Amino acid sequence: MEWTHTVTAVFLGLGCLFSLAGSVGLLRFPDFYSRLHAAGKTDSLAQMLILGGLLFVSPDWGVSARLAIIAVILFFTAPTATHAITKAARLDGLEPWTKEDANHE
Amino acid sequence: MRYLTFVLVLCGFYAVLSGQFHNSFLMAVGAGCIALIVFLGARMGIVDEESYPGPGVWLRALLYAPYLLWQVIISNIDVLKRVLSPSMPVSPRMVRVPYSTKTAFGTVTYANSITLTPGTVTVEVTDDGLLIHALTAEAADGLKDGSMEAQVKRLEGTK
Repeated sequence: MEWTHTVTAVFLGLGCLFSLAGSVGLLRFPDFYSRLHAAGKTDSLAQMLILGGLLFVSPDWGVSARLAIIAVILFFTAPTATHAITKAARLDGLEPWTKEDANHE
Repeated sequence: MRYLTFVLVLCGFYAVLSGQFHNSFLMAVGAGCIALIVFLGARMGIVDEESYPGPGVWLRALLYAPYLLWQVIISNIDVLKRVLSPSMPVSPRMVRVPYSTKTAFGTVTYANSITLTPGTVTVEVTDDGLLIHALTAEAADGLKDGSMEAQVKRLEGTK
């Protein structure tokens, strides 16, 4: 096995791990806003790890350049999308879930 | 000058995405698309100082990128830990954080960077502050020390 394959495997593995963590967080976190933390954050790193890992095995510069462009665009749009969804919830008057003690500070 | 850069960027984008240089029909269509995009961009008035800042901003952005990448990595490990721990130590809350970035570009970067950093998501941007949803009290306090704001202001060039 070439070293590039090893690097790709590690990157893809890490990407999957973070992606999975995001999905589990989506199910486990208590309310809408907290769930977005899990979903929105892990996406940005997971996609970079997966696309970055694929860079090492891309056949030519054209494919590499396209992968890099996708990664950069997703990096900018992911937090923007997260913000758009949160703001929509906020405008609809959704109150965030809080623990009892959080209000007594 | 800005239009020249715009056209060159679009040409580069075409070259990278298509990789087609031998088919004159495709080249013509590409040129047509570039002309149309430039026309629409001009009509929408988005070919301005903000879209094409001077070289200084690009250089400072290169300095800002590693800092942000590092924050993203910390943030993801943080989420991973909280998701996987059985007790799930979260105590979400809303906080309002003032900001002092001067340009729209700076404020957007700040808001998006907050979303990408550990335990915080920007909900709303108003004149008197950013409304932040924080997963924990520590995450909310971490923002108030202003280290990230200082980084963004350095990127903006107002500090």
